[in-house]
Amino acid sequence: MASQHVSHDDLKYVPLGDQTLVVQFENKISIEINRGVQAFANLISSRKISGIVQTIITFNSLAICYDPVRISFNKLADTIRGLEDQISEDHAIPSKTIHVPVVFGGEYSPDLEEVSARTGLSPEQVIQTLYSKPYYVYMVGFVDGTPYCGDIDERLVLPRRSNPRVKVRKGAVSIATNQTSIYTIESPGGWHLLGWTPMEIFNPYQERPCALVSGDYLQYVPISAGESERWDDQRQREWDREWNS
Amino acid sequence: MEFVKVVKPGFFTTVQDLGRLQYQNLGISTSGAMDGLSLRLANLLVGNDEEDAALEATLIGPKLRFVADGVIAITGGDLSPVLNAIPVPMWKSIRVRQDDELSFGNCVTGCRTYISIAGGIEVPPIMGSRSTYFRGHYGGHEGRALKIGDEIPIGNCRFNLYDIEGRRLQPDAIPDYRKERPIRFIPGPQTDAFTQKSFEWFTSTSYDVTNESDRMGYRLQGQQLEHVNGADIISDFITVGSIQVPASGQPIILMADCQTTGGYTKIGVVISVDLPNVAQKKPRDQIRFEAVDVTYAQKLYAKREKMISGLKLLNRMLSG
Repeated sequence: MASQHVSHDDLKYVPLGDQTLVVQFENKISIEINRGVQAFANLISSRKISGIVQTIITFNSLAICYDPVRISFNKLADTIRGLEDQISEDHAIPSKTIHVPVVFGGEYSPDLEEVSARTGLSPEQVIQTLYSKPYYVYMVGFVDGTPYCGDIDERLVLPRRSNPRVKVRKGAVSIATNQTSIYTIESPGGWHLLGWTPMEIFNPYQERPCALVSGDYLQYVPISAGESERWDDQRQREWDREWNS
Repeated sequence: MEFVKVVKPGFFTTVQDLGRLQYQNLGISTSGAMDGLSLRLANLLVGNDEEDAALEATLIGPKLRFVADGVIAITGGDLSPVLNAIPVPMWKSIRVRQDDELSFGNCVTGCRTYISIAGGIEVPPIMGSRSTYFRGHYGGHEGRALKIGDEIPIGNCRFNLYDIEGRRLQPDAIPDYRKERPIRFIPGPQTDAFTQKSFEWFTSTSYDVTNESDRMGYRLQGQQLEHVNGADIISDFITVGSIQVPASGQPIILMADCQTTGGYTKIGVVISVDLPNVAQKKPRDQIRFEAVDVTYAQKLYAKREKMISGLKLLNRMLSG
């Protein structure tokens, strides 16, 4: 398959303080642009440039943390700029699809009625629309592995709640703007809550703390309330064998 | 020394090292010492590796009892350390004996003090670090601030205590926390998001540190800044020291426990060598900002790292 060229006409190289360089891509959220960020991150990693500590992918920019004693901002910017021409889709890591069990309705979907009223869809339609397709994981950020996934059906697009909740339960499945996410720890939050997953999306004690990483796809799979209440490590292992291996 | 007993926890005392630097791509806060320089110096004074874990106390220090002989050092803000009711010097390694008690008095300068113990604190590392991440309830001692009765495990000291007691820093290695020093920052990445007038205000007026200031960030209050086209951006990476300006026009400096991505414009980022000075600011202190370029900031950083390398060399020579 011919490698697809990734546009990089407008890449900007700017300092974020004295230990991070940010490569800014086109100023919009799109899977194509994010794949370009992914590809550039992997290309840079493959070159083992001395002084780079880590790369962080966000929607439309790539942050590169580095040790300024080993490489200066200007030297790093020049080195990376020299790689621009080689960015291609080939460098993007093949994505995997992670299936996440979700219980919908009743106490698990505190904002379902409101979302239904505001979108003009029935509660069943809202839920079916949400789990009808996989979502691209643009980035994992904010706190503790929070995935930012999209794009959701445009009929479900709503701004964040004007009145954020003080406390949102860990595992809450939520939407806001054209994105969907899962609360990985109990925290305050302003997204609309449409379901709940018993699957642990973030576990700081595991070697791989996050179930989802940028570039993956997220697919919600409806389960019953009873099944979600009985969820345990063994059930999770079975689930992963069936859906996520 | 096997452990240190917490007699009184102080206002907010946590276990910190240099943080989780390798996990920001998974949305993991770095955490770690707010004043990383003081933590590194405290460790090097007692013969530890610079990245070992120590205690970070805030405003009101703890009361600790040592269950065996050991060597400690106290660095950072001056919270009036006292050993068995006798004042003890900071920036120096001190011998402690079994049943000695370390306590603190008034907050004289800064607000965060670091207590290192030869051997280092040996709580289990989580994602490569022993730092407490209070918000996520993991790391450090049971993922929380210290409580009365806690026993903080200490590792084995690889030196003879006699060899490491009484060590002190050269005067020019001791950080200068004087309040009138401006905090230097590198403008951007969203410099264009602010009116030219706002940028001038930001660098010519001073900002108060408000009560809403903690390990996650410092909310400042002063001349309101104006955006050209609103305060929101597509969420991107934020690092410790980033100065976010939301729609209120009042800046927020993000600190050690900050999130990894954010959707507000950033007017600049505090340079690495000045972060310890920000970390030692407390509510009602003032901050004046001064813009510098990245090349200058990296020169200052290299100079400071060279000083620290010298201290590390001393420890290596001692360990033969």
